[in-house]
Amino acid sequence: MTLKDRHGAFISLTDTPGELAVKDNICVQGFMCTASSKLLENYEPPYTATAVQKLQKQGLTVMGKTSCDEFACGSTGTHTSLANPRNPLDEKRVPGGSSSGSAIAVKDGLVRYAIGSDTGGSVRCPATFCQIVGYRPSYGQISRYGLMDMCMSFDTIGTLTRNVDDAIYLITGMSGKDDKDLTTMNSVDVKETPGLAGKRLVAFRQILESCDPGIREKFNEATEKAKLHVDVIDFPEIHKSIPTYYMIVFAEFASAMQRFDGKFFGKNRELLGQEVKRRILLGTFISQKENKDKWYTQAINARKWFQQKFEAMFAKYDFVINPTMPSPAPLVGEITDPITEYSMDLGTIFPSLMMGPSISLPYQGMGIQLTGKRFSDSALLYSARDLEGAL
Amino acid sequence: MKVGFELHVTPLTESKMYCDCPTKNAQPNLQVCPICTGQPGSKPMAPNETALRAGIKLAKALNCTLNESVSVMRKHYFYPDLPNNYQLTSEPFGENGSFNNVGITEIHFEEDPGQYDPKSGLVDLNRSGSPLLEVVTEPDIDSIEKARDFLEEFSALLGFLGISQKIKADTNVSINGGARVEVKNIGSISGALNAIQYEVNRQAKEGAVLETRHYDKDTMTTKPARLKETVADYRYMREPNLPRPRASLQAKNGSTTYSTT
Amino acid sequence: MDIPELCRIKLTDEEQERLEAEMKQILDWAGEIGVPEAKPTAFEAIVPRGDRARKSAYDIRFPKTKDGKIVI
Repeated sequence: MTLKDRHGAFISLTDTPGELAVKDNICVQGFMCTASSKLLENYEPPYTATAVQKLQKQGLTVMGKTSCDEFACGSTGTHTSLANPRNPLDEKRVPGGSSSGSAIAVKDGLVRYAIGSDTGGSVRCPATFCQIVGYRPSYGQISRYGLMDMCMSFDTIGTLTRNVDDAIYLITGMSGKDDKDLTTMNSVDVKETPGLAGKRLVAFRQILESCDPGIREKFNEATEKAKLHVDVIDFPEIHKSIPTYYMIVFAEFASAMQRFDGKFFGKNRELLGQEVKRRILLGTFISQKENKDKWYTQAINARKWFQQKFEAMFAKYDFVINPTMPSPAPLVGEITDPITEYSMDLGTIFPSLMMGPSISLPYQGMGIQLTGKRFSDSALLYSARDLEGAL
Repeated sequence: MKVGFELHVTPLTESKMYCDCPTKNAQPNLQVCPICTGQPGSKPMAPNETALRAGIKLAKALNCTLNESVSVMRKHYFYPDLPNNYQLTSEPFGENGSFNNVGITEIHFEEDPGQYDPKSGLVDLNRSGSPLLEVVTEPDIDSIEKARDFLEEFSALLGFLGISQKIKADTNVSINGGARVEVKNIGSISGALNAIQYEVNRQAKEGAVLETRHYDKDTMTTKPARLKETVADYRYMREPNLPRPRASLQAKNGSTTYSTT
Repeated sequence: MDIPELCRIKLTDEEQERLEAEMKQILDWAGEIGVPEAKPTAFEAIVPRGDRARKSAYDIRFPKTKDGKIVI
């Protein structure tokens, strides 16, 4: 079987037919696991991630490992020297990141099911840019054992599929407690529940205002088409969610990357790309005793504050709705500075802070994102299926 | 002279601290798994119950105040025997105790690194991840006799509690208010006493700077450590993969619960 | 201590200069996060793992080995 991987979806492929593509930062025995990094080019994991094992037990076969931003650092998909990913809808544009390859593989019809990781939007962003469905489960819903850590407090394994039904299938199959990932102790069963009817929706004015006019138009069109009533409220602090997220990411990522020094596996640290190096340096810097209080301690407090705000808000509303990404997929090479790239995450970061499930549905070139409170995955999935039908 | 100890006690357990690997001796690098070899994607499992119970027993026997809330932290430094280049170490669960007229500063639990032989450059990770209890004493020991007395009583206590038969004693020595020298690689009471005696004499002759030295039991002397083992800032961070910040040990009807959020 | 040295990443002079400028830009942008102080959070309990050893079923192939030991 030869696959026409025209858009750089895969880092490695098998000859055996299979239904499942796995992002190359999730360990699968029998495949290299490179994290799209030269440092791990020759790394063969001795084990398979729990979430993948569960899907294999259900009869799915892994047919390949997909490209991504190196060590999941980025929102374009292009931060890697191991692959050349392009957007299947427009080859001059980025596919989105960091789970770029998984999105491309599904969009190009190379595979039916794909999984990736979502830390601050890494499944939902490429899903939007490639116009497919991307699902980020509640934090602690699916075991991360076998997923290479990017930011331990925000990482989740998520799905990229053509429709919500396929996402439901994967999420149901991967969910559950795992004593090799203690953050899963409260994982819930995913079951069919009443959907969108009667759900109270809210949107944040500041997120809507940060979007391109074209995106906002489509968003309004979509909510009208689906006959949704959305309360728009002010949430000015939402802009602070981005530095809150990134300061925690830098500190935890620097720690996660300590082990990669070539002594037991992999190659030397000089092979790391610029985005990865920068995050490690920043994370090391802000974790130092003399610098901790200036950014990191504040970010930890801010995260708690956001969680408490959202808890209060979810007493009044069921879902937050917003355009997943504020603008269309950028051209390859268009984004040259990190802050511009980080700012693209305004719509996708807040679900990570409050550990809630979040889904992106494609609509006419943009994404409609629905987010629920933590462990409302069933309600969110089945409501999203209704919304998909209405769009 | 002023002497203080950082005593590393290996509790008798079947398995390691954060994984199910056996702790029994075996051919090199066979009692290992993705967790204790730091494979990418691995996460720690819940801490070993026998090790926690042993720690609580010891803390009480040392007359420590027990702390309800204890976090597990990552202590970052690079060293050939440390697969993750950070060690999981807890905040003190017992503090301000005393034993045999020596103040006990604190007791916490941590994991053992692997075994690295600088001479051959070889590493064996069988020991990596094994549980350790660390008891830190105040520098209240001011004579070799007091040091011997303390260590012999401490060893007897461990035997009486049925906790362990293995201790390693990192020994801190200073004289006349000078710099504190830490001596590692001491595996016996006689080794500790020899190291103290050697250091007292050496510091009197050569002076003392803040440093880490290794005890050589063949020559009964101390030598400067080859690689930098201690760093000024370990960038302690709460282990995010162990549910949330805090952990507490509550002895409830004889059972131990390890609480995290 | 030098940050690149602290995280064991060797940088060229040009890399170091560029990364330091980018880092400063990012930290200035993050600035004072400035949200109010959050309320303290409560704790929940999990049970420690028993103490049963499982025979190692992993074939962890260390790339450099000699008599079973890893060569650094």
